[in-house]
Amino acid sequence: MSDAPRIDPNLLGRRAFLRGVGAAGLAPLGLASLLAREDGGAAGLPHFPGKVRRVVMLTQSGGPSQLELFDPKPGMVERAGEVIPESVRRGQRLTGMTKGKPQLVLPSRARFRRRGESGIELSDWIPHIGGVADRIALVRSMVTDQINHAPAMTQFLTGNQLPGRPSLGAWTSYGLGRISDDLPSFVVLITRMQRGSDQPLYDHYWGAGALPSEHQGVRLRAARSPVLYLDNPGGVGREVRRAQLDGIGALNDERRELTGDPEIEARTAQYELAYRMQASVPELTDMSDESDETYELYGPDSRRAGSYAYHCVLARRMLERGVRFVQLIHPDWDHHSRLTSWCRMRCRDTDQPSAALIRDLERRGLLEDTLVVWGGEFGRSPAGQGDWQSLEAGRDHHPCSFSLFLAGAGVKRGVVHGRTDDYGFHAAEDPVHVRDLHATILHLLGIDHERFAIRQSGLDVRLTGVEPARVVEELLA
Amino acid sequence: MLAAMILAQTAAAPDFAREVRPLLAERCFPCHGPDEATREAELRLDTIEGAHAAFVPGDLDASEAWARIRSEFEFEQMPPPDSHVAPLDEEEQALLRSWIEAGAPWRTHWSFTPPRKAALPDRASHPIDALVARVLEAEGVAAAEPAARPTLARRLSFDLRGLPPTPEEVAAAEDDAALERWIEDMLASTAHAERLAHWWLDAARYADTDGFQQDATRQNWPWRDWVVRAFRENMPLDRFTELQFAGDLIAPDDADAVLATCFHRNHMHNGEGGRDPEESRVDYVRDRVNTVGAVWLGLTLDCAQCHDHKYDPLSQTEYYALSAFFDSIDESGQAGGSAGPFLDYLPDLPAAPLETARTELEASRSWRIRVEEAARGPYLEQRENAADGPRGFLRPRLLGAHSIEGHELEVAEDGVVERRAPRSAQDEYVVRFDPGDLTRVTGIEVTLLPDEGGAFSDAADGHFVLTGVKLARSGQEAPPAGWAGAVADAAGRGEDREIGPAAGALDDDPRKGWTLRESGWEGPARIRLALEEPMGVSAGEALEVTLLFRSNVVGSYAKRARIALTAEKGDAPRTLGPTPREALAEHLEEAGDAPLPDELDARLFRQFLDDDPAWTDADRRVRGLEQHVRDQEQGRGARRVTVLRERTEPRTTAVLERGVWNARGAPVGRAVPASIGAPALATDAPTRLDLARWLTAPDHPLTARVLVNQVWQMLLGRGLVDTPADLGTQCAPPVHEELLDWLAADLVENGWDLRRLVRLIVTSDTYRRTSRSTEAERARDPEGRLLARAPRFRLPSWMIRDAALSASGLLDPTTGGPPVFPHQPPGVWEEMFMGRMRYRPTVGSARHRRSLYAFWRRNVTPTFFFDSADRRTCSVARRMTNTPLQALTLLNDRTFAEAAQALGEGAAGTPGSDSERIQGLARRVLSRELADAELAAVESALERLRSIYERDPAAARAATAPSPLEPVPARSELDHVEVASLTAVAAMLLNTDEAITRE
Repeated sequence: MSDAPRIDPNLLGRRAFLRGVGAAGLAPLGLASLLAREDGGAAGLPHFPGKVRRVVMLTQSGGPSQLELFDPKPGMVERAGEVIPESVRRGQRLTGMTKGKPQLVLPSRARFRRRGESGIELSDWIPHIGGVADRIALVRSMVTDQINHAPAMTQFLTGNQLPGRPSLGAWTSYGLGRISDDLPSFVVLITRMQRGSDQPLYDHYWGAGALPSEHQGVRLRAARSPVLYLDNPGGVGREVRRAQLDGIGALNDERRELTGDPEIEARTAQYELAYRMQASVPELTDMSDESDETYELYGPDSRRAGSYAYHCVLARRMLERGVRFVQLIHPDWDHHSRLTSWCRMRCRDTDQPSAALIRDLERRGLLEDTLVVWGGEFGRSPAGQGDWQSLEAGRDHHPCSFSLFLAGAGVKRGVVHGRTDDYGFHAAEDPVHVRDLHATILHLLGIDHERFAIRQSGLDVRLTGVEPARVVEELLA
Repeated sequence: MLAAMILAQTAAAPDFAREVRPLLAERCFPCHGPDEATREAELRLDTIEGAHAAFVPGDLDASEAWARIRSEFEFEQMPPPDSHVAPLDEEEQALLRSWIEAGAPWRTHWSFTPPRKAALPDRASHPIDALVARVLEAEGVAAAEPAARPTLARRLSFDLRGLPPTPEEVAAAEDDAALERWIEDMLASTAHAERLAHWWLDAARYADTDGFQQDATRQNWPWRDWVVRAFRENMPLDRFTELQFAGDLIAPDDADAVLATCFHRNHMHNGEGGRDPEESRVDYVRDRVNTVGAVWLGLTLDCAQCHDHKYDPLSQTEYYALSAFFDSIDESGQAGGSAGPFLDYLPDLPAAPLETARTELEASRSWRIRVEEAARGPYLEQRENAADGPRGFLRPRLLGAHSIEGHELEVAEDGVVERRAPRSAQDEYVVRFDPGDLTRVTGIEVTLLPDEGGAFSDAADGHFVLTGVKLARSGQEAPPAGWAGAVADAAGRGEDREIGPAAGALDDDPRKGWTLRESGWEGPARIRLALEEPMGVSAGEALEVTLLFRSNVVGSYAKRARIALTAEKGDAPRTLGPTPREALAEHLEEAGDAPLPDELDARLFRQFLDDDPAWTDADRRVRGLEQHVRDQEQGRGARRVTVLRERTEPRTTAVLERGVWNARGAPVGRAVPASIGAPALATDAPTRLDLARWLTAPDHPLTARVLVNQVWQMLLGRGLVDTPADLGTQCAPPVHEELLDWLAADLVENGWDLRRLVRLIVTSDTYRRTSRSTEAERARDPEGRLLARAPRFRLPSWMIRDAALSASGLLDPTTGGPPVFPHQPPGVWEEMFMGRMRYRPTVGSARHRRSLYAFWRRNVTPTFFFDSADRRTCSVARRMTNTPLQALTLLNDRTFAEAAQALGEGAAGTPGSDSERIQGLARRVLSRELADAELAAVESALERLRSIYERDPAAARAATAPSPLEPVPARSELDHVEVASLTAVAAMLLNTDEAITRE
């Protein structure tokens, strides 16, 4: 719950600042010395120089199966169909879907092989990610507290299972401010699927909580109008709108004079930013200047608006143009059944474009200060759901261990961190809790998670919450 | 500078409640406060005993805590360096020092003692002004002038009704007596009750759906109407509380009393698949407790859910003792239709809104008939030639085919794509083709052909499983087309039970697919898929169809497949028989000039109408109104409202360890918090009714203060306490503590009379001051906390919408009944639910009803309500932000565009000069006339707009086009350029800062 009115006091100052240097031409890239001071962040931030300026989070919603993608357990083949011993499970809670049913080992449906010079073992279902194995830091020992989608995703993205806390993207935007003057600093892209989704994607996943609402993620829609209300009403062209804004500006100036309220200037400035966004957003989403080679790199799906692959190309365009935090969401990883068809299909949607994004960022020099995160809210159980021998078998939700990878600025390349037990049930070595991941990401951004707080409902709210969280130094380059 | 400040502070004893206690609370209470679990060294600084042991009054040297704060040694420093609590800086130390030296005066937290009325000076004309004056005098600040009368009229109208005043009301308000009469009229109006209901619905987290995954629609709106009725009849707030907590216990046979208890069932309901219902039920119970905390007690009770409260004297046991009041509701924790207990409530609705809807429906139907009749002639003219155009399903010229998994595909001469030797488990084929002369595609046909041995695929059983079909422009960025449906020659049953019917091929879900297995069908088999919207094709453009065979049946990809397309509308892509044009051609060939069979004529005419934009437009209006009329009719029957009802067998409530829903600790009985200065319960076996009566007991320290603060915030933008949901120990006494207390005591003394409280506030000089300020005044008091001037703040988004509708004359003032669906951009629900839910905007005048009646889907807040409470959990804090997205909403939302257009048409239809018309618009939108400089600016804008539209008459026509949400598209007879220009001016005025601001 917010307590005070929230108006961005920096807005005018920041804009004036940027205008002042604008003559030099604010190219989307470069000008590092200028942009390093880029203004607008919370007071005293960053706490120290961070290696990461931009983040792209490839969110795989539903719980991708680490056992089919990242965490090989060859020993499970011999134990196929056996009951997972209580000594391994240690009382782990089940969802209502598998509660009361025997927990029988389902070996991985996919084959694994060593990839790259680092030799990281990855599944054949993600050959392209395999191709960038030497560029990623794979964590096989992620853990979370939640077993159902909404609370787990809320925790994964906001640090707390209850809705209403600021999301990671909002924290980042709030902490470090805006890079581009014409685009929102936090953008969300949701893959458009042909089939109806099982879980809605709540807007609190990218909400600002008690932070000023300008930091909330702006969801670009897969529609002709990518931002709600971006299009003028019929018969109102750019020229008409300009005339209206000039009139509004003139009347607002008069009112400012009369009432003395400085907030009026901020209002006019937001109307002007809206006007600029009406030009900058279509330029951003008009991909006609992308080469065929780009589409080949990202795969055939990348030509289809709204696909995950298309969003990966779009994400790169946004990072280039100064969006601080891009959050992609692929919504269909909840594979309770039919792993060989369903999970594999989702690998096909995401494998090539995810890898292409890393390669593309790298060759454009963007990976030097961009962090890529690939992962979902939890993993999937080593036990089969349904008849484990049938092709219809799937896996239930699993919070005790899952995999996720990072790539880019400040992160080691070609390493594996953490290990799960022989059943892939619990994180056996170096567990990394979601809040540790958050602490690590903030650290890479130059932010000390313990000192990064906002007052909400009388409490100091931090992304990493009240339990101790740790920066995973082992992952840092 | 710093030294001077420290000296100054040493001179005067600091204010314990305002300065010392908040400091102790923040830095010491986390380890030395009310939470037993985290209490260190058995030291407690939140009680006078503990505090005076550590801070000895008047004796710095004897004060152990002081020595620890000052210590240079890490091992004894307080707060400990590793505690993440900031050490006290010099100023804070100086403060503490002077407090100890002054005898460490202690006072119970200000809001934990019952509010008392301060004595007023005899000459006081108005208690609020007398109490404010006291503070202003002490601060040496002069009160601002009264606001100009038109400003005051506008302020009153927004604050009391959420609507702008009419120009007549503004004029009448110049007279003092008339102004006071007008206020009385407003207080008694339904509009005032609706305005108050907005406050209460936010607090009650009211919405029209469950929230969470299923987000099922509920029928709780009769409760919303109950709230409006209660405010309209000025139900005392204690009664209002009792009914909402315990209407079922007070009068179980009185439907309205039971209805009131829906307040405590307005929380979200979770129907997620794997969810344990008991976990959800526990969440609901706690939601009620937390809501009581925020709305009545002004305490962050939720902090005591997992452990004792860190700052306030609330133990975790007390939290669960309070939850016990709500723990024995006869509920299961399920959602949707299983979310009982329900009350079948029969709403008493006036007939007029339904009559209006039916009249509008009739009008739209007549219009559709007229359009249909007008189409008859052109239809007949082209009917004979209809068979000449492209008809039926045509095979396109194939440009190539490839497989994703690397199969070799060969394009044979008859358009059949053939696969060579099998290689992988699954595959998909991409077939590129030239659609030839077709200018659009409305559906496609895929034929799968068996080989000589009768096998369709290399699967063990020889059957294919088609799991999806995509149609897209080749090499273009366009989403694949959406399918409306599929029909096939036959459908079988897969070994996997999800596989079988043709509909399985409609999406890219690889678990579902179409197969012929067990169908007995032999030979080529067709499936036809109809597009939701026709896909236009430009000359030379290539298209591609992707056939997905992604099932888990190994090798179930087709050996041979063929593609065909149709451009026909009507039922063509939805049936397997001859298309209407094929049937016509057949008829012409066989029967020659014989009259067409009626059935064929009807099919052809329907196909023709489907292609007539005027008819599809009229048809859409009719269907929209049919939906609206259906909603209205259903709303007149019994509605299932979620309400409270006790179980026969009460549950045993337990403390939940660490707040975990099934970690049940010690059992607890019903009890209220003991250490917040509130009276004890009078009974040993208290019920929800006793809880409500305890909240509104005359000497309860919190409830009246909390409610007064909310009302003050509603009227003046900011509460007397900044944190309306937290008046606990973290909250310093407000600047106007005496005022808050006086109003709270007065509310209780006068029978919890809400209207009296509102009247008292709006009749004070304090309320009526100008909101204008000088730089010096703002520097002295940036946020206006002293109340020397009135606040100036942006209106809530719902009020901005209602204001635009009201100013333009479009507002439909109907009260109550089923919710309506004002326009929002297409696709918003569909995106959220990936197509599972579709938003259909209301057609007809009801779309312009007040925002209170807009359908509120919890997972997708109506797009036009920016900055609103999220209606997921209770909200009593105001939200006020300023983003470019809000500007886009107000500039471009259809409702605002319609309001601007209505204003533009009104102005264009009024004789007069430009300046007279502009002033007319200003009177309606801003409740005043423009000053010379402003008028000049608007006149020049109008000139500029006029010249733009004169150059571009098509834009002028577009700007004046009738709304697609009117029952009938009636076009104004006025000059388009004039209407368009004045519409743009009206939109400009609606978007000025002043128009959306309470001044």
